Order: sequence, then structure tokens, then C-alpha cells
Amino acid sequence: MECRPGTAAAATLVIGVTVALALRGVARTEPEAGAAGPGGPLLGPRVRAWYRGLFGPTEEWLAEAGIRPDHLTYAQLVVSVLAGAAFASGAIFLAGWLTILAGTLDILDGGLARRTGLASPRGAFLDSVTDRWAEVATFAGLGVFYYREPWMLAVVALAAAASQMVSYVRARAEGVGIALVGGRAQRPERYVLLGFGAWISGLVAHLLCPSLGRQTHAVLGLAVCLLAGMAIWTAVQRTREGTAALASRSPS
Amino acid sequence: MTGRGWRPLAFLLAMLGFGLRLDTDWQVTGLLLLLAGGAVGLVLGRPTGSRPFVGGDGPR
Repeated sequence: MECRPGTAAAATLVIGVTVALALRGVARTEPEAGAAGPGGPLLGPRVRAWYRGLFGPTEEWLAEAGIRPDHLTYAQLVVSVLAGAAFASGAIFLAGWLTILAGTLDILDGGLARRTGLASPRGAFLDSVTDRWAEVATFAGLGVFYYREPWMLAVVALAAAASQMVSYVRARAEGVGIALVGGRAQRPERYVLLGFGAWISGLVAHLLCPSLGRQTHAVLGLAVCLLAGMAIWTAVQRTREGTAALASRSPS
Repeated sequence: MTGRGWRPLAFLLAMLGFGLRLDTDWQVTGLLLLLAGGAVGLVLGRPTGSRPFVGGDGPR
């Protein structure tokens, strides 16, 4: 792929200014009540509250336009498939953008459901199942990108399996009456790690391309390794919490 | 939608424009999206806080 350091520098400037404004917004936001502290999610309650607030007017506009939460759920799946295709074709910055967009749609569908009074067990079930397929699609594309690098391919497979396990453990725990909502690498955190990792990797690849003579995606590799490690940790942590809760409930 | 509501859309459009310009041969489409993102951010994304007709503090 052609080196485009000028465009990458302009994008870096825009993202830098946006991140500075976002940090100011986060600092001014009142945190949501929720899991915080060492065992809580990587993105704290303040960041979550800020992001929800940022898209509040969009939710309102979508509700007025007659868009239903299901539409956003299906749109998220389509965008995730496109993100996978972008990863597979080596369009890493674009893949990062699509991953962030899919994550945003995932947040918006729940928000829209609550705002319009359409939140239901059917919607929650459909959302969970669609989320899993969406993750599979994105990781499959990432696997195609790394198919010449066996070690990275193994890490992608591990990240994909561990991400599914995080959700599976929670679902099984809910089946036996235990609510497991903690852990560092929940769904939004996984979107952020992969999306921003790909974004930064795409920028760095284009910025360093003229001096290196080729594009390198070491930042994406690091992000995927971090994602795999955190997802495994979260799945193990939730399993331990679940077994401890069950052991305290029954004598055997 | 208020001015604040347009800003995320402007950012998403601009980033899509940058993505197309960085990773594809769709240079013109990317540029158009960048311009669209800039226009949405600058024109529609401006604060549109409604001002009261009558001040709350002074005598009436």
C-alpha cells in the first residue's frame, strides 16, 4: 500500500485535538454508578457516562426518525463484517474506524431501546447473539490479515476465543442465578483496544513508512496481544467469582 | 438535533474520509467526506443554546 505520511499527519492532528477536547469533557462529567476500582472495567464509569452523554442527542434524533433498536443491532453486525473485510484487505485505519463505529452502534441500540421504551428480553437476547457474531466477523478478518504470521494468528485465535468465553461465562452464570458483571476487558473495552489499536497502527504505519521503506503494524500486534491477555484474565476472573459464589451457596 | 449532537457525526465523517485517503485509492471520495465532516462540524456543530427573551436577574 502507498505511503501517505501527509494525510496521516493531518489525521493525527485532528485526532489529537479531539482527544484533548474529549478528556476535558470526561473531566467535567459526573461518573455513572457502577463497577469501579481495581477489578472493574478498564473504561471507568466517568468515561462511560461521557460517551453516553455525547450520543444522547443522536439517540433522540434516531427515536424521532422512527429508527428501532433492532435496526441498529443489525447495522452493527453489518459494520463489524465490513471491519473484518477491512482488516483482511490490510486497510487497518479504516478497520479501526469501522470497529469504533460498530462499538458506538452497540451502545446506541441499548440507549435507544431504553429511551423509546422498547427494551425487552427479546431485544437483549438478539443483541447478545448479534454481538457474538459481530466479534467473530471482526476477528476472522484479523486472522486473514495475519495468516502469514503463525504466532500472531495464534494470538488472534486466542483473543477471539477468550472474548467469546468472557460472554459465555457470564451467560452460564446468569443461567444458574449469578450476576457476573465485573472484569477489565468487557465488550466496550475490547472495541476500544482493537479499534484504537488499529487506528494508531494505521497512522504510525503511514508516518514511519517513508523512513522504513514499508508499512509495519507493530502497534496493532501489541493491541491484539493486550486484548488476548485481558480477555483471558477477565474470563478466568469471572469463572473464579462464579465458582466461589456457587460454593458459598451449596455445601458440596 | 442540537449543535452538540452533530459533532460526533462530523468526527465520524472526517475519520472515514481520512481512512479512505490512507487505505484506499478512493482519494476524491475521501476528500469529499473530509470536507463534509468539516462543514458539519463547523456549520451545524456550533453551539445553539437558546437564549431567554427576558433576563432572570434584573427587575421587570
